[in-house]
Amino acid sequence: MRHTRDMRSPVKTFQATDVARRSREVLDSGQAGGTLIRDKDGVVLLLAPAEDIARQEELAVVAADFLRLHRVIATDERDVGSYGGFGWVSVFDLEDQRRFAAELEAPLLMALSGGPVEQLRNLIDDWRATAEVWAEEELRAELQEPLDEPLADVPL
Amino acid sequence: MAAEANLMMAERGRLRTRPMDRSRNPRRTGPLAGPLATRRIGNKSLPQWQHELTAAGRIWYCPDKDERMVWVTKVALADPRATE
Repeated sequence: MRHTRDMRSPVKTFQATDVARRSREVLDSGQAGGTLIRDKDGVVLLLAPAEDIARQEELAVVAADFLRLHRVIATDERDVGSYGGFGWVSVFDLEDQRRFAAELEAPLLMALSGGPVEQLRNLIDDWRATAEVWAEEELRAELQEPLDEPLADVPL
Repeated sequence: MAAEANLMMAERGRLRTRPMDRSRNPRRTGPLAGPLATRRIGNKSLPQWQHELTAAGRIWYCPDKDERMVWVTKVALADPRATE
């Protein structure tokens, strides 16, 4: 399980001259949760695991798309472009769009709070896969049809 | 046809042993959501899963945990969008 930044060591601040003189300490501090390096011109740089930065960027994009989705749901303007990265959600009717937004909220908040991000990714992947099927009328109808006899059964 | 047979044999093994295990490739295996989340099979409402066999092949199935059975409901070895 990934540690949250809060659970890690406090962020340490180093001076630019420390990068050469105390390089191992600077790197260890970066790995432990992030290092701030104050450059000579006063600009503060962040040294942190790339995975953490990528995660923050990913969550920022999802959070922005989540807000766009809420705005779209609340208005009558539902062109695909207004959904941002969730353009594929537009294939669903309004009730299912609301359902997706509601299901997204808890895992997004959990991930933004430093919790695992897998649940959020899985939820989005599952809804995206569903949207692809939903966009195909024949396939959609077929997968909604009640069955008495399956195509095949596989005992576990 | 031999390739398809091999593919289906491999898929049968996956369905037997780990139909709801998405750890190996979560983006290719998962439950459908929202309006397609469940499907009526007989007198039961079961979760509906999709697995991407290949880039162009999909299988849909409904695991029944109580009966320890997986109902395979559709297999498409070509992209359904390409059949139009």
